[in-house]
Amino acid sequence: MRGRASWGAIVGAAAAVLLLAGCGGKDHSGSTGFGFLFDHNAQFNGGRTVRWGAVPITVFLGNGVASADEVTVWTSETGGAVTFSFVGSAAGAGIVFRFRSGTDICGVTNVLFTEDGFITSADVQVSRAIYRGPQCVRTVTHESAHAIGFLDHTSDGGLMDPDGGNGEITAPVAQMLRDLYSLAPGTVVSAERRRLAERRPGRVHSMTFVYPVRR
Amino acid sequence: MSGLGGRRWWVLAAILGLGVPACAGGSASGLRLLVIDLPYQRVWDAALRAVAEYGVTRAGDGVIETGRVERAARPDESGLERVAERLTVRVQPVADRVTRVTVEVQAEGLRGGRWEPLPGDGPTAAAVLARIRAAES
Repeated sequence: MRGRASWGAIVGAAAAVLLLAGCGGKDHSGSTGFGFLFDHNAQFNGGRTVRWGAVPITVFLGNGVASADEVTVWTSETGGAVTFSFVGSAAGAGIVFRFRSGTDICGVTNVLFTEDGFITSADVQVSRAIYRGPQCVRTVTHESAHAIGFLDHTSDGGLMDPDGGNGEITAPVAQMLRDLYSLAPGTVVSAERRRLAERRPGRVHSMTFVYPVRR
Repeated sequence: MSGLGGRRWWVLAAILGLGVPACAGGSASGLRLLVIDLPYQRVWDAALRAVAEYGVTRAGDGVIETGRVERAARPDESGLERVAERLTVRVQPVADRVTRVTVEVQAEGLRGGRWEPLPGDGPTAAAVLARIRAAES
């Protein structure tokens, strides 16, 4: 009997190790501080963070499409966590700026990434006719944030709202990018525990959460 | 006693072993494209245009399936006479003005007069994503 009990414990422990290990990558699902990071980055990759693998990130400004200071504002906002290196052509650049035609949108960013969380390229197109006009707000800086890993929009009235808001970079956005670049690409994060805590302050939660779903 | 113990460790190893392939599958570097700030319908239309030459057999509910298209083997596909591919493109709205696009390639190779399944073709998927991106403009 004792042997069986021990054996059961071993099997249980093995199963737990597999669940908790999360199939590779550091698991920060127990963190209470990465909810914003999950919502605006990791949720789009099954709960694993998506970022450039190394800094500085090489950028081609498109021969005048964008200016360096519109991009490097993210270096100061992230306390130096995200840095950039500017190159003279699109070849070999990670982030590429270029013009697009049309006046329907201010800009669009295409972010290509692997499912293990590495951004491989970001293509930023700004609408030449309007992107510096009154209907657009700091388009280059807004799209630059998408290109470095802010993969969503906010609704806090700031720059990362869909319409650029009041143009101000809000604290949660800057903090999220700092958090993102403090973790390796593909790090598993979860917002669920924080959400539960926010919903039921002071309650002790006995449920076990395995999140996000792992394949 | 030792036999029973050995079996136990074998079972334990099997449990752990089951986990490894499952995890290994999850670490494959499939490419995803996120299109941010463009309305979903524009991305969907771009995806349809990008794969039109494959012959679209089904398009709806965020999924585009193409017909089977044969092509010559690339230099890196040595030993194959021909390659046939069928695409499944998923265009998913994941947030306000954020669309995720993935491409799955079902490929077969003709070798010695017989078609045989090939692993998912990364270069083809990457090329299709690049065409979708270009078709947005």
